[in-house]
Amino acid sequence: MRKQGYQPLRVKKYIFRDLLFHTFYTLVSAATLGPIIWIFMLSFKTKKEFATNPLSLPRSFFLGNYINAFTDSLLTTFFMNSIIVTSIALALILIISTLAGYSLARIKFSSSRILFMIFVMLDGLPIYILIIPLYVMLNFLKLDNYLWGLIFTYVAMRTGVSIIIMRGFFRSIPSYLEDAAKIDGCNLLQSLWYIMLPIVRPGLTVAAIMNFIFVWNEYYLATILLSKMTLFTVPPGLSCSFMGRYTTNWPAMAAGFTLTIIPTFLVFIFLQDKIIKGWSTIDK
Amino acid sequence: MTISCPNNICFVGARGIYKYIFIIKLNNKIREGEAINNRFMDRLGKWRQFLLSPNLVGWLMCMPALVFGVLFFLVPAFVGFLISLYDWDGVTSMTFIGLDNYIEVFKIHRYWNAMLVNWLTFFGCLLTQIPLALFFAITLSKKSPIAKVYRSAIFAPRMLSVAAAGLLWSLVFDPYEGPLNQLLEKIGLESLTFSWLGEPNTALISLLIASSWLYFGFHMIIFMGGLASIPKEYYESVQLDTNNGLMVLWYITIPLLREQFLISFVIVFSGTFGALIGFFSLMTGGGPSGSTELLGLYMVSQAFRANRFGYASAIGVITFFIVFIVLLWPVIQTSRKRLEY
Amino acid sequence: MKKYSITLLTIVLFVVLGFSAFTAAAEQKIELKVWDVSFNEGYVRWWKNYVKEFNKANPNIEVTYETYETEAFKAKTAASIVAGTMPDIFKLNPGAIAFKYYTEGKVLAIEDLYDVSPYMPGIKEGCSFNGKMIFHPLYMVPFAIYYNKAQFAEAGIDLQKWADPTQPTWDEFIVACDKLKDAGFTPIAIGNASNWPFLAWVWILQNRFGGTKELIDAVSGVGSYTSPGFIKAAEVAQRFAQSGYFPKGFSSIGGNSMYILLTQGNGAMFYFGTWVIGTIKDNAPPGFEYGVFKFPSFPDGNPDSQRDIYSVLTAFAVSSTTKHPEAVAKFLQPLTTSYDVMLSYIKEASVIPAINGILEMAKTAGVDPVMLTVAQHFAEAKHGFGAWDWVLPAPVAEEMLNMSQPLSMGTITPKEFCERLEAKARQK
Repeated sequence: MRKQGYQPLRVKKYIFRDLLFHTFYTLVSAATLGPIIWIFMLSFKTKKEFATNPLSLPRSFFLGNYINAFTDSLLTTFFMNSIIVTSIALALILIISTLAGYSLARIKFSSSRILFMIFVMLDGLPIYILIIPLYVMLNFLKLDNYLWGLIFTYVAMRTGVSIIIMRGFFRSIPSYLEDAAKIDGCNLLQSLWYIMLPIVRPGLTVAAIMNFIFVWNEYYLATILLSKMTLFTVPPGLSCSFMGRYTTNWPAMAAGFTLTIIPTFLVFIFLQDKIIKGWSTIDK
Repeated sequence: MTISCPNNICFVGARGIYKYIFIIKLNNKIREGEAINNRFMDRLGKWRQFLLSPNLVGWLMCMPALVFGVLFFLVPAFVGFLISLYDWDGVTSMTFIGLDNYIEVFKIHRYWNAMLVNWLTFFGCLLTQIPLALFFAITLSKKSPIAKVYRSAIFAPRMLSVAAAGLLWSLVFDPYEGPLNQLLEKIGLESLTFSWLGEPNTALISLLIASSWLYFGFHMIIFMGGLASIPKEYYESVQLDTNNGLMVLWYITIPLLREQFLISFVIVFSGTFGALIGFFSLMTGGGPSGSTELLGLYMVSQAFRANRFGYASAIGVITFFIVFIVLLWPVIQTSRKRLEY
Repeated sequence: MKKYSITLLTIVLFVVLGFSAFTAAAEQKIELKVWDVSFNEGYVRWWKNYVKEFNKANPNIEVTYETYETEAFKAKTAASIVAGTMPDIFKLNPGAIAFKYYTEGKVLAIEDLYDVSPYMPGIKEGCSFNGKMIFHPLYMVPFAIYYNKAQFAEAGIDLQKWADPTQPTWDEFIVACDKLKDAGFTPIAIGNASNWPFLAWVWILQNRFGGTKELIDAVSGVGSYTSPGFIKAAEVAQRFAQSGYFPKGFSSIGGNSMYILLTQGNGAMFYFGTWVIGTIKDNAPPGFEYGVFKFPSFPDGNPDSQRDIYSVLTAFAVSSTTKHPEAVAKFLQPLTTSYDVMLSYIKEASVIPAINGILEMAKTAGVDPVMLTVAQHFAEAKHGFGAWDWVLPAPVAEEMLNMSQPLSMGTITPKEFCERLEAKARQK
């Protein structure tokens, strides 16, 4: 939106504005990123250092916490389990919610509103009332000895929100695209796969990121619904190994947190671009 | 093309008119096709009609989600609802008391306090997180690498687990060692060095700040996704008429982000009445004198400390109905007006 | 391409998972599961070691020892009791709730499994129901006041000047608090985020005024929570909390931060259990010296209970769904019969096991002298009592925990505190 004008003045104006923006964003980023860096630093401290001054820089890079994290707890098992649970749950959630979201957004059928209400209801349920019945049911179905019980519970929990998201993104696409596809001869599924999906890629990514973070970091259900420690994912595994009733080994937990954040971080960086890609790929 | 704007300032550029005519013609054609289809369908039996109609496809596509949702969620929830009609402590046998739990819930002052806290938290979260997220989404939705760094930085808090964030913020707000108070002292605002989490007046606000920090990055991503779905043509056609950024924002961007606002609203609302419990529980466990006790926290303490599962389930059922009813209203509203381009 | 690799990954994982399910079923060993709540590292380390040794010595038994954080532990145990999938051994605190488990047939009595004579009589009573010992006492954690020697010296407080150097009277105690306050220190280190630390003061005060009989009567319904001892205790506790002796923002300090208060010098006195000793060892800066004395006495209080001790009692319960009670007995028995095991227990975990004669043995074995002092206090006490949040029935306990912060901050009156407890207890 630049007006053509006298260049020298404009250049100065924009340098000042850019500088302002950059300082502002750097401050904001410092506020959001700073604490995380602090946790990273914390993982290199000994317990005594933490007790005396929690906020200082570590005196030296004490790797003991990381070593402890692997020896005192079954961290590799926990990571493996987390990866299994998260990837399967994520795949299921995305597939199911895309299908349902698309049908609720685009297909005019009479029960769509009722179905959507059911899914909104699913989202609104507080999980705490159903923990005990859920546990009894999983136990009855013999699913609490395997990771499937947890996976299915996560899928059930997250489809509600994911369907709301996917439907929202599908609805915000102009319908003439779909009509054009129909004229071209695509049936429903083909138009979904070839036309709609690339357009709702931002929505899909948003749902993917949200569900990944949720499932990866989820603690309460995982602790209760998994019966064996060898089945634990990372959050219950960490707290189970390092968190006590009266004292907690925070530097060791910080090491665990740092290790936990890394996959999330990678996923986010990888997926971030997909959100920004907009119409440029579709205008053909 | 029609945009359902509140005022009638519709930006119809030249290209828009052509598209408009094209769409009308297209719609007519499709309706004709549907009319032919319908006459064919009328001759079939009802069951066959269902099988061949879009209804079946719609149901089929929703089926997997329904199966999971109903089996793993609604069934235990229904059992939970049944439990709320009994008086049960988890060990001894259950005694049926009908709706007594619900009557008791409505009489207790602590419940209404929790309700108030919950609604305050919800409005606080909504009013801080959404505008911030929108602001950052709009200003940072460029493709430059610097913008990418900033976006990652702003999203970073979301990647922490709740336990990490809880630890972090309890230390930040620590009255002795916390950086917040130390910073205030250095500036000279010593009178403001409250014990943020320790006093009933400041605890809720501190928690709101902490949860906003934690969650607003996610709303930023939602809005970014929404912004990316808006075709560039809108902005281009607008540029021919006006240059005012704010007007563009108000009349084009925000209405087109309607779906995203709905999504954010739903997430904030269901989160405040659901998932935020973990964070609050870790930070203050219900807070100084119940000033940060959410409904969910009250429910958990009744279930696992007071061992009154029936009563706790009643609280849960009521909370669920509140969430359900409140969420229905915007959903129905936006269902009616579809975003026609 | 990405979609294909994910499908491939899923299939591979499914196959792996399927196989791992089968291998799990193929083991022939006797498997015992133990659920516990870890409260400090020494304790967990000791247990893990003990389990390792036990597994080595008994190759046909495989014991898995798992620790959880308290909130999740409560939910997990509750869920497993309903479903009937309780672990063979799990931790709980004896009290009204725990004994209900026994009457409903969810736990076995250890008296039926092995010989229980070595236990100290007071502890045996705490773990028994109708004379039969149900729970295996893990440890006792007597409470006492630990103080920062350096700060006391600087404030000019000399324990020898007290009438009884091991226990001040309440007035002497208040004088000491004032002296600390004048010297610029925070007299009491307390963090009430989890509600019970302040309540511990109320409990011990009620004991000093009304004695354990008043408490037992109130719980069983013979007496009342509004008896004079309760009300006076709540009054004194509230007045104490409002006197500015507590740290700033104590209602939000909890968990780890509580201990940092004492070792960082942000609180001179800490009324807590022997866990502190282990934590101080781990966290204190070099040169930190501390001592211990009993909770103050009231010359005009209940004459019978001025030396009583509040002590947390934790026990293991054996679930009734266990398939191998003999293996369980084999696992738990050395904890009562082997003195070496017991001594290492005291040293590593800084808790006191409840076996007869352990104190004499401990004296000769080089246990931390502060720990010995506290153990001595316990031996001298006429009565002991446990945490009210286990002794009281669950709904009353929850109400009490909820009122802890309002009481300490002055938003409810002591009378209201007692009346609400009474109302809750007589409900139904």
